[in-house]
Amino acid sequence: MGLAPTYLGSVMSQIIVNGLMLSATYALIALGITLIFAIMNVMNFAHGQMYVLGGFMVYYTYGVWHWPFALSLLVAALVVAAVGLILERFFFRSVLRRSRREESTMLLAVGTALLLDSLALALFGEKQRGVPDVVSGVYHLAGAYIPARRLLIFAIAAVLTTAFIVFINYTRPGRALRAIAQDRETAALQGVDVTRYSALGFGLGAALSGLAGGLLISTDAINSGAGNLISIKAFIMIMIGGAGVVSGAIAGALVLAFSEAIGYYFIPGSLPYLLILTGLIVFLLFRPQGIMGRRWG
Amino acid sequence: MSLLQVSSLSKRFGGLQAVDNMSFEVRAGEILSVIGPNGAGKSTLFKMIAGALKPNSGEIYFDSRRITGQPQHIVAQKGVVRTFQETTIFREMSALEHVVIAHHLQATSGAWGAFVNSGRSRREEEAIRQSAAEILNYLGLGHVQNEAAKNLPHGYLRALGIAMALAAKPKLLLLDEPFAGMNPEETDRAIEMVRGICMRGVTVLLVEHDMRAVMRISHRIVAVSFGRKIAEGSPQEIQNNPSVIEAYLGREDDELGI
Amino acid sequence: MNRLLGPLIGLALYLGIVPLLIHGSSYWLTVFINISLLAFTSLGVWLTFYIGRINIAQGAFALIGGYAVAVLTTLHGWPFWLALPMAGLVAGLVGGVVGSTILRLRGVYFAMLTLCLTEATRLLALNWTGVTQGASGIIGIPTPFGGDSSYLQAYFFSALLLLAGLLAIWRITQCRMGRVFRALQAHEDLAASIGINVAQYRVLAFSIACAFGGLGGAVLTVFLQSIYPTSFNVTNSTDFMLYCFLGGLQFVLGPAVGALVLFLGFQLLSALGSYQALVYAILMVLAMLLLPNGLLSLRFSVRQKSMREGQV
Repeated sequence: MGLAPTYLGSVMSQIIVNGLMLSATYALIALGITLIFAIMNVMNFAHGQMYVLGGFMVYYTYGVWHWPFALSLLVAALVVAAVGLILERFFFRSVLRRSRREESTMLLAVGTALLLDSLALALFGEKQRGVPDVVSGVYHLAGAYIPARRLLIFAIAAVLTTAFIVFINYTRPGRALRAIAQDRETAALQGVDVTRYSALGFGLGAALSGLAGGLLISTDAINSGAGNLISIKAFIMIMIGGAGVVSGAIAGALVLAFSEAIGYYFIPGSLPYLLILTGLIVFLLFRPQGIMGRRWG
Repeated sequence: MSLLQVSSLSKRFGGLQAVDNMSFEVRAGEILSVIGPNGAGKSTLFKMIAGALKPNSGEIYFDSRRITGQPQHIVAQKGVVRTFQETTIFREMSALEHVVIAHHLQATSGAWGAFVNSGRSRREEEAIRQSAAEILNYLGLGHVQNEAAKNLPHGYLRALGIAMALAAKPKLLLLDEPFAGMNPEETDRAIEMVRGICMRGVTVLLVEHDMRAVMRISHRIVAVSFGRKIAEGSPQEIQNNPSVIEAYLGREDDELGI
Repeated sequence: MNRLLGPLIGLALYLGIVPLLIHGSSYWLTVFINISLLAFTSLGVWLTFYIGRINIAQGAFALIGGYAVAVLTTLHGWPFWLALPMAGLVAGLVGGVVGSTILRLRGVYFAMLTLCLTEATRLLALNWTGVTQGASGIIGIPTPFGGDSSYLQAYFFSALLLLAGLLAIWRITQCRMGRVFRALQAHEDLAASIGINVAQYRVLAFSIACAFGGLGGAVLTVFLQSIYPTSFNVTNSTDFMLYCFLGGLQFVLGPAVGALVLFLGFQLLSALGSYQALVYAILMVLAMLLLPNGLLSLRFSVRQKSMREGQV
């Protein structure tokens, strides 16, 4: 009996630690997709594929060629950003110019997801890939175990998330992006170069997803078919938080990460996700616009 | 003989009291206008009567039956039909198709009969088409009935909106700013149109900004400001009412129509 | 009469010429059975587009129909001809219940949620082991098609099912129901203002759509004689949607043309080996960029052009 409170306490702290560790990386994914949605009104169905691409960049540069981890993360971000820029320039820009209908951009987004999926399969094969630990060791805090590699990933993701929020709120390009998200026409009238900043937003959103993939491959393995599942996670987060809202992306990431941490701690297998998805549908019944509503900024 | 009764109706949006304890009635056969400056709560009131918005408190009775908070299609079935401003249309459809669809409540043959194209359903379709064409002719839209709505000029779209509402056979027609943005001749024609509809036995409640037209057309007027009713009476009485004049003071004179 | 000529020629081709050419090849018969059934299933997605919703859940309802027919025939000994309509009914009812909640969402929100629904259904099939037998799936499902000509029988059955589906959807678009659906697609509030019960009609459309999914999934399952939680997944759901888009959303024949061209195209690219999927994806994205209104819009624009030129 005397052990129970301590045991309960350590369960609690383990769950909190797991949830927190995961939420920072998830925030990167959610921020990326919400940024693209806010700026371009495009739901990036290829977001998960960009994550996979980022993961494989780190796999090759860090895992196979043994570059420094920081450098390989940078490469992952740049490569995925470049892919995002190419997609924006050659696919979405022309379609957005031609038609404002949601269907046409969504169709294209689904098409790019399919394209990146088959590209990943052709380039990287079907195998599940992981990388060696960046740092080793385990910390023990309030009854919870924290592997050092997870802590490092958390720290990097938290710094990147903070940097992104500072960038969006306090820098000139950040303000321009927010202006475009509020109202494209008004932003253009105020002299914002909408075309250039849209490209920047798309590239940045893609890079965030790529970074998340690069970070998480060091704790969870990845395979070329994982894209759709990651996209689904991204959708869950922004539906919970409210699409196109920075605070909503963070809220969604926290909710999903903690739901996963709690679910996987107590229930094995795939049941937690079934519960999460069911919970999502019930939640949307009562709050279809998500926690943080729809407007951005 | 009151057809519509609004009693102590209130609606809040966050901190804003859009409609505040408003009561009035619409008598059968009359044209009643609700006037007020922008943001006075006219559209909120309008939407609540049409069932598009639920009030926080208060009641709405139509034909002595409570319709408070009921969904739009039920309110429409009972005979309260609203029009939208002219940008709200089924863009790709022809004018005729708009009015045919608006006969939805008149169709009595079953869905299955329609699906297998039964004789009864065919006859009904024919009758609906005929009636739709008649309504369009009556409102002067006969010559554009096959034109896609997105290609029609604004004046026509407003008439099309009224045509749709008439097709739903309303007892009470709610008109949302029917004279907004019209030049004097267009306004004259629109006034004749609304009077004609009223002559056919349809009671009309309209919210409007254009005072000139309202003064000419209304049997009675309800003036609102900041969500409250400030006056009610004949056009004459409203024009001379001190609180109405005060509510419009500091605004452009032409809004009062003097 | 002129309007019917094209479809009639297509019908004659599909029921007469195609089986005559390929009746000896079980591979090609299988390809065309798949095309018919995928097209039939996509018709449901098309109908959801018709009320203005982007539906990426059809894989889920195909899975539900597949499991329904599998459980009824293998575990409860129902005959196929009874189990098949039941599968459609079950999928339609589930669609009605789920739809009455999720159809309140629109645009990308509805699309995202339907995608999640596909994944949720897979997880349900995986975890509800008492009914679905989990990951090991249900195998040995009896088939009503037997003997030397079983592939040919299945071909004709699938083709007739597709034709019946096309006819049903075409009738829906032509009758009052279709008019209401078009009104919902264009403006739900305006539709409600003239007395249309918007919620009821969109649930009706979605239920019909899901019943199509259930029927298509059931026949595919019986044809393959096995079903697993991954038999219809997110990829299938997006495929069904893409067939509609690429065929053309304005045309009832859109999903059929889309399924025919895309599925056949994919098979023809099999010579490319490991690059098959990549080349297929590239061609598809190109088609999206060059033909934003679908393949059938090509035919129409050509005709309009020649008519204009004829007038000069």
